[in-house]
Amino acid sequence: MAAGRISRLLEAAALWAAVLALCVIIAAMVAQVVFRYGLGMPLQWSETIAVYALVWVVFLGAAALAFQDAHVSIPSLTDRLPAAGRAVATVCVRVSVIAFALVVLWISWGWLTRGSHQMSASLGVSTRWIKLALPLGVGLIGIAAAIRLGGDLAALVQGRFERFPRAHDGED
Amino acid sequence: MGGMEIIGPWLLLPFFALLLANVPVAVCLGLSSAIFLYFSGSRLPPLLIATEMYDSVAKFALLALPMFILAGELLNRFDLTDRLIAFARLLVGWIRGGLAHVNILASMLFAGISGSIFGDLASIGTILIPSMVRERYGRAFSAAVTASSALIGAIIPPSTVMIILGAHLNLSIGGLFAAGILPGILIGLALMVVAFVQSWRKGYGEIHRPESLGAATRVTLAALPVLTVPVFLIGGIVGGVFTPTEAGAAAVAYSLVLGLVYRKLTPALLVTALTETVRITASAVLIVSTAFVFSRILTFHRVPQELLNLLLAISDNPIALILLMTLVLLIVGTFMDALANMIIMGPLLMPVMVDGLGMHPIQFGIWLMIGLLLGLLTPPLGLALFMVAPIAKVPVLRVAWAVAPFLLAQIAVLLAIALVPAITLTIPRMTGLIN
Repeated sequence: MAAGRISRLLEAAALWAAVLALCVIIAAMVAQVVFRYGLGMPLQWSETIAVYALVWVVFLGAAALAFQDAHVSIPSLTDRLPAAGRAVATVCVRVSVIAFALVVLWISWGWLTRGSHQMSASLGVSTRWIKLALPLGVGLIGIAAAIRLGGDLAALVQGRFERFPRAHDGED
Repeated sequence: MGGMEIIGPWLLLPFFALLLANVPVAVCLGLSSAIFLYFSGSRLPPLLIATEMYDSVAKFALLALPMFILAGELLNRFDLTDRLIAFARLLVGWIRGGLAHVNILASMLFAGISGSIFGDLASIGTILIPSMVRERYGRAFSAAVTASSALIGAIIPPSTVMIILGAHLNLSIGGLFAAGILPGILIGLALMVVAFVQSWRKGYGEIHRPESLGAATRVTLAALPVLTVPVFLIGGIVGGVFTPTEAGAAAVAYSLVLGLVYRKLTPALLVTALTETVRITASAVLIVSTAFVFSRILTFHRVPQELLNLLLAISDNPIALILLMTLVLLIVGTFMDALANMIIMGPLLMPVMVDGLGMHPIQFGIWLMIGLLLGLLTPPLGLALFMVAPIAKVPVLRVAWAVAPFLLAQIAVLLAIALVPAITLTIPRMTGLIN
């Protein structure tokens, strides 16, 4: 199915970009320790670049998690519903996630196209490129929800409720 | 103007509605904040969502987080847990309820390496629960010991929870680390007392003889490279040599070296550890980022002040109020994700407890953290219960009952932390991390 393939592709892209950003953090921090304690000449840029990489780790990592449907939620109530109730709740979840993604995209558009985004003193890049991770990551989270919503609606209409299992089995 | 009239219908109501519908916690916090900012008539601009989400992530203090998570993920995969368990068995295995004590002590030792609760729970639980069941400990009891001692992972430094707490409440992370040592040991001892009494009453376990000197030396030597990690890290941070972030980088480097020495480090293992680190970091910090927006709304509308006034109207006895607030903390912790809770309740309660009731900020941080983490052990959320139950092959509710006496012991320690500042403040004061 095309949607499944797009979903896996986007998930992999987000995950590997986040892993790459994580490697940047590790390299920068290890370099900082080596230069400060080993060579006695502290680096000026290592923490700045590591913080920027962390922004990418978090928002792209969060996108990858969304494609795996692995964000923390609290299923205590929905687990007590019958399958049809869980199906309806799942559709509400997807719609809420898409709504949040649209709000973040809308706000970020104004945020990044207007206002000042001062150059980072030690690196000389506009922080716009760093901040872009927020709308990109949350936008992908919205796309992940939209792809799942398609499948969920189809299953709901056809009454295939096995698509909506309980999160915790054997609670009672 | 008091903010509660608009906070209730426009922020709290949508938030709880979304939460109950099983919407991801991060989105519950973000979407309810958006609803509030657009529709309540608040003077705060919706732009806050983007700026606060970004600012709460782009923090230097948070850099320690992926470092310690990665170090923990690596060490977890080198099968070093076996060595720690063998060492713990040597020290406390011969006491009545031996394996229960081994479980608790191993959690304490493990806590000094890895900063997470769930890594500890999974690796120690998978190894020790089957052995405990073989030695005729109750299944629910074995699960309860594992779940309740796993919390120590966040209390004895290094601790990923403390890094997030310190970064967002502007508390010294080194100070929190130092402050967590004694409470962590106290909780460990309290759990051992409960485990001893229960094992003695129910005749759990076999009595092991102390091991021979040769075996003892061998076990100690095998555990030594692993045990050096906490001494080195905690010593470095508490002694003020390293910043927590640098200690995290050193921990990553050290675990890579250890992996090479033990011939456990493979490219595949490294990739798994990296992707797991991304997942854990992103999952936690995304919640923190939207919780930060939510929390800003509450503080802007002066909810903390209203809360303080409300409390002062109830009583002016600080001890009574501290007891009351501890109860509030436990109740709140039962119904909400611990991390989101910390970001929201921290700024909400800090003025009350620190300015109003005279707690030290570091003492407040530890009290808040432990109080909210205990929610991991109680239904309906009880993440630790849900994780341990399948490992022990026992229903969640039975584990919840078996946890009760351990939970009471932990609550006793929590009250002691709230009422006796020396428990948290002695070590950070000794090392000059706080004044």
